[in-house]
Amino acid sequence: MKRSSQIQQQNSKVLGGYSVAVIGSATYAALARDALHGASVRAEVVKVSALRAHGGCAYGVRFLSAQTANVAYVLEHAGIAVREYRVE
Amino acid sequence: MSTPIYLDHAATSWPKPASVQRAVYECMCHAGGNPGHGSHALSDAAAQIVFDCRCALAQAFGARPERVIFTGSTTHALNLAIHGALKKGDHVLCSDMEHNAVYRPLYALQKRGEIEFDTILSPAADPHVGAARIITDAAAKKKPNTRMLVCSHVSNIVSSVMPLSALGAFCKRHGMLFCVDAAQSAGHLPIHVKDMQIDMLCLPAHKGLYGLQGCGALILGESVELTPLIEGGNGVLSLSGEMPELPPERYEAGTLPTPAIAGLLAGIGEVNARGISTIAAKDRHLYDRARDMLARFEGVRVLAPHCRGSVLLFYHDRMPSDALGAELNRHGICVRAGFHCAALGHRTLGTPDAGAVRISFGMDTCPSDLDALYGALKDILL
Repeated sequence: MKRSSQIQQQNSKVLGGYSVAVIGSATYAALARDALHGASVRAEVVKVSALRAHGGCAYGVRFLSAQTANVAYVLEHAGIAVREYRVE
Repeated sequence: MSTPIYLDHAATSWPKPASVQRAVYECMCHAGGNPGHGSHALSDAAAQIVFDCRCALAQAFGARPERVIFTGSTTHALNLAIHGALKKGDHVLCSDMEHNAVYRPLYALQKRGEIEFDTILSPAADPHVGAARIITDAAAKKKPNTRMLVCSHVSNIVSSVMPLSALGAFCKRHGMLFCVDAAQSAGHLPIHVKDMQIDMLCLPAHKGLYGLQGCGALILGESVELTPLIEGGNGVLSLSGEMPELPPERYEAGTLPTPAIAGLLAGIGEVNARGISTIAAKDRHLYDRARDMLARFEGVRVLAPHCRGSVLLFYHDRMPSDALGAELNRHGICVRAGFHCAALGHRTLGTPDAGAVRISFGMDTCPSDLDALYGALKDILL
């Protein structure tokens, strides 16, 4: 049985990598995840790397980069503001 | 020591359901991180519990999860609501039965010359006071600078119920904020923030929702903005000197009581399984049984006997309430005697100088508990 990390790596090669929508609080990141799940977009809450230039720590949602347009649409309609999108 | 007969659920519910105890224990074992303050498995697990409980509270009370703010208690939630919303020069209306958690902040602000407040009628002292008379009284006492109406949904000393839907509509018509203290009604009566047009709903984890002490919630309606009461770290944007712009994190600084929140989540599940209408009907049935039982004792007076619900207040003509409470405790019956942190309420009811005894019911209170109370009172008073 393949480990999920191996499956993720394979997906990444096939589907073009992962991106993160940087949101802010853990609550809004969880709301974003649930909104995306409701739209059949797989996403997980992640802590975004703490960079001084960005004010420090934040939470976001990680998703397949190919879904970026869908993610932007879903989150905008859910009223969840995204600080930035980052490609991993 | 035999199991006490516990009739003090208005103070805190006991015992907690097994599911609540398990949830708290499992949280401590498997989700012991700091929610929202890290990125490892244990903090993620804690964060998920917190989020799930926000969603459960939002569902239970008709609000959005991001408008659910965890606090240390109902008192903390009320202080956040009152101090966070009011400005110098505001006027406030509250009912004549408020707990000190509402009365004392208003009293302090008035004493400092920052606000003025007036009380409106509640059904406690007069069985003929209904929603129409309460609204008429509120309209008569409203001033151009009345910013907020704050009231307890159910009093903590008698089961008088304020008409939330009517008051919410009144406040909306007049551009006033509507703040509700649901300490005694959450888990006992239906409450819907959106439908009742409530701007701020304050409630405890540890009473009718069967969670732990040390946790409460303030649930905000749409478009309510408050000045934060507490500022500090909340795990994100740590390099900024400002609190976050949006709730809930804007109003939550410091570490949340995750095990208590886990217990609250389980407790909400228990209440949902039982059903609010079933709980409310049982409260009224127990109240009627207790009131009729107390009527058999000469010298015992029930205060506001027309207010039927989970709380009943009585006194004895000759025996001071604290002595009666102590005697009941010796008989293994847990009640609360005295003035119950309810200065306004006892003044409205005209409670005697020696105070009164309060009994209050939970989901699992049964008629045999009242039979035990009857037996103890026979022993003490006859």
